[in-house]
Amino acid sequence: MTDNTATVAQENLAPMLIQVRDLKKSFGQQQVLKGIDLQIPQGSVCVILGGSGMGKSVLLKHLAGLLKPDSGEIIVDGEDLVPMRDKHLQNYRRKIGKVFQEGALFDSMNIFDNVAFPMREHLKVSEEDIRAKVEHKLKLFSLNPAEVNSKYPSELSGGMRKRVALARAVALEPKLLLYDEPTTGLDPITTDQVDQLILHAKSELGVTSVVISHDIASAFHIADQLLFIYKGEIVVRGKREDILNCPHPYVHQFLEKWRQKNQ
Amino acid sequence: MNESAPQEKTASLWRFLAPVVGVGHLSIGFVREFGRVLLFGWATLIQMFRGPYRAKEFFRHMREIGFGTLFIVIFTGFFTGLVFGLQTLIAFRRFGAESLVGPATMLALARELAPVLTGMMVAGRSGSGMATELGTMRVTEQIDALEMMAVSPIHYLVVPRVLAAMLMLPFLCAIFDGAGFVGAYIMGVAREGVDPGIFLAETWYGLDPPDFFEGFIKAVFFGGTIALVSCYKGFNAKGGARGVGLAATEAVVISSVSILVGTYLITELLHPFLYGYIYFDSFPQVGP
Repeated sequence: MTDNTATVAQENLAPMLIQVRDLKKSFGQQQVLKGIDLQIPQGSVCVILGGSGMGKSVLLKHLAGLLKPDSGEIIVDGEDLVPMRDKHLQNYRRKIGKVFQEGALFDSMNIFDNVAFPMREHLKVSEEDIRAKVEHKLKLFSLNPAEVNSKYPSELSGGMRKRVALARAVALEPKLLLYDEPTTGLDPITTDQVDQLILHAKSELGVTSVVISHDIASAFHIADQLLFIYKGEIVVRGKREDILNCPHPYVHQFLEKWRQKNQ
Repeated sequence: MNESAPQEKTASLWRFLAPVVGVGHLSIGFVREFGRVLLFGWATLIQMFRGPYRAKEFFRHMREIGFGTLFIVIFTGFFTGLVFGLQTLIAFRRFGAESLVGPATMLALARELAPVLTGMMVAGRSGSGMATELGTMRVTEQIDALEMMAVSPIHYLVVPRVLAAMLMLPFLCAIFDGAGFVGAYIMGVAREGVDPGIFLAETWYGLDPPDFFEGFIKAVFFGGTIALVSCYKGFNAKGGARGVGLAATEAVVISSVSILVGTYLITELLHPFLYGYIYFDSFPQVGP
């Protein structure tokens, strides 16, 4: 592992929202995470880069409390997730939001009900309050409530679905937002819009974001901290320059392919 | 040469045993899957007693299962009554007992045919629908999204469906009984000329409430089984459209087989309770 002496996290004076220590996870004989160490300051955007099957999604699932590690510690907002039982994990998940690759909006509900769903489940407020909150969240991501409220997810474009997914993810005002490859399969203009939305969520709501991606351009655009995972290990961490100057052969090859594609 | 001989012997032994190994794998697979369905059922049972109670979802599924299968249940019930009445007439005419076509048909319908065929219809229509809907939700990560929003997918998706199916199946079974009776009446009275008064009186006196209870109790179990198996299959769907299609097919096949096995088991279990007083008191004493 190439340790760039002082990580961005250590340079940053903001308190740490996420601290992961020596995280290991195996599925059968295959070790997917081989001792991950990670620190993410509050209010920052951390992008985890890497190829397919390198352990990015597994790491994200650990942060969401959907998987238990074989060993190691995951401390989020002062709470250790590893020993948490179901009920505590449910409480923990109310503090985080996740934006899925395809949005994962409920196709049997209209847009209003999709965004209102987590509020109706967890907030004891009147329907009028919910309406006001939903409209506020939609407007935050440049959606016109009057236009989209009664529409169904299948009636929206990919970019608009991403906006609704973001509005739903921030419905309970989470401290942490997890993004699962948010720009995969999108055109360059929509990709840029999604990048802006992630930065918008950071600046407007002060949310800490963890993004897993293999879209290098997008990652360089939004990240405060970049990590590169290869075969379950972080091979480089830091800023854009640290990634670009990394001597690791896989990272080098990854970047080379990206450059060739963009020429 | 000497070294390879034992290896060949072992290989030929394995070839000989291959069918046994195959049966073993199938049996283990069946037991494992059965255990998983039971665990899924246990989790559903626990979630049933936890709030919040989702009345809106519950009524929505009641409507979907009830109204969705109503027409096909009436249709199947009517023709089952018609054909069973015809077959009973053909058989009973040999003994000059055409007037008993009503109770004979209704006994078969109430105890066995109504719950089994209603179950099959609901499995084919609503069960496949449940597996497809939940399967699509699984492959499009909507179930993961529920979990991420700290909402139990079993509580939100499975419990209302299982309860709605358990409640609706006996109603549909009763409607099947009614449609079957109309079919048997048309066959007996309108076609074969059995006196309507005799037909009705024989049916009235030939049937007891437990005959209907047996059907309704079976229907409750079948409703629970269909919904549970279909939700389980949908929950565990993998691999896109093909996986969802496979889940729907398996849900219908497993539900149908479970209904046929279940109806025998329930009949064996229920008889001493429901009919004990009829049979054991009225059996003629044979012997010295």
